[in-house]
Amino acid sequence: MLTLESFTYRYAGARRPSLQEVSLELRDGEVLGLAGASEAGKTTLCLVASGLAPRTVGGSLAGRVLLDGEDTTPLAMHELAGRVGIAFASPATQLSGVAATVYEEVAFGPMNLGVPRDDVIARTEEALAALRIESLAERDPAQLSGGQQQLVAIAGLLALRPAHVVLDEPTAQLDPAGTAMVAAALAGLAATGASILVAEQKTDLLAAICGRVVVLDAGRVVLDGLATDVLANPRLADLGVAPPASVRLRRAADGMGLSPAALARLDGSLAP
Amino acid sequence: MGPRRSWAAAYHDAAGGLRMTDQDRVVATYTAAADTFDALPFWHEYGRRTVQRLALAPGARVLDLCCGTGAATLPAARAVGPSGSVLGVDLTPALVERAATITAAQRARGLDTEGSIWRRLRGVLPLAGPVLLGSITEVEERTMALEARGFTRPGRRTLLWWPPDSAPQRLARWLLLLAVPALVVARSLGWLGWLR
Repeated sequence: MLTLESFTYRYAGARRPSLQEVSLELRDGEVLGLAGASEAGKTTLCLVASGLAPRTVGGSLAGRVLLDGEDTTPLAMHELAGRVGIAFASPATQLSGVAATVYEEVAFGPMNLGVPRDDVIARTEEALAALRIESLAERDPAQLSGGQQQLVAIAGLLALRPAHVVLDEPTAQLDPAGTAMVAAALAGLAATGASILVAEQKTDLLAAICGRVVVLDAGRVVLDGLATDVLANPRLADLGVAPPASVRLRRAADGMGLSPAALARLDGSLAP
Repeated sequence: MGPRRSWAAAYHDAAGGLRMTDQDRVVATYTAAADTFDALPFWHEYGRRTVQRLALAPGARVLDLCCGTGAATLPAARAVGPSGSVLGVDLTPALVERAATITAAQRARGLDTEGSIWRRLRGVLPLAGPVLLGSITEVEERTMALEARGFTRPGRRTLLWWPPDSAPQRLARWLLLLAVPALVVARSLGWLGWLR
């Protein structure tokens, strides 16, 4: 379980904190969605949850981050690396720059952690298979498209087999097929008991993979609940978040006087 | 004579007897070499120096006969500037086509292939600027990504493969490493005076 205990975080030199009095609990096997307008604090929350803030980023943090009940304050970043993994939106900055092939890029994290060689190979091949990118294994990561690089970066994260995963807009540069692959990989990871925090602008993705969604506004949690409830909340648009297509479709149908039952017959998969 | 006769026979077989003119032979030879023509760096060096010695004035009109892939044509175009003109002519269509491909590739990258050196430099800056700035401004995210993957962990890393490293190779490597401080010490003690 990943627990953020009533924390406030301020970047170095900032006059106001970016996150204030935030408390979150991420249970094992849970996929928690994080939504909010730009500058709402999503990325900052991801950095704090992963331990990068304030260790690498600097700034000041009041409050605690607990991993399975253990206070992470005294731990160094490399001690957190195998326990909390993070992926960012920009694929180019996530590649190590030292790997000649995609295979070595995905294996980079476990190799750094000193994982036994056979285990590194098993993890690498499993991560490549999870994202269906085995065919890229011998390619130069620098020569891939942005979408392919992002899948490689996420595969590198999966190869670390962290118990807790933080993803900051992981599908920002992926097409629908790539987004679906990432969604399937995350669902598979959650099934193994890992807890996942996903910050995303794509609420359709949050509706598809998250059980719970939290919405941030100006550094504070303003909505927290079941994904179906939060994503259908009328306040969502005012908070700078576009509702998922299913919610917009239902609202449009309501406006036209169509019954929900008639809509459900269209594809049979609308959220209740 | 052996190699020459062998070359001539093969040439004649492929072309159908002895009916080929000198022009055909030249075209066929350079066409065969077109793909690797630019691998020989001296063409471009000769072209550049030829144009340099001509001291072409801005606005001049130049006819480059047998221009090949443009080794002299492009430097001449730079020298005469936008007000001048350069016409490159070659017997070998493959070389002319290759010259056009090189110029088109440079233009596709956003490089200005015509005009003065300053104008061309101004064209390079917008291309190189974002790359240089990106490497500076995204350092923080790159650092975070490396740290999140255990890059700063002390201790041994796992290796996927080991380069071949025999006992003599290891010995030679250690001897080379030891030779550096030994030479520094020897030099400071004046033992290497005989090398002067």
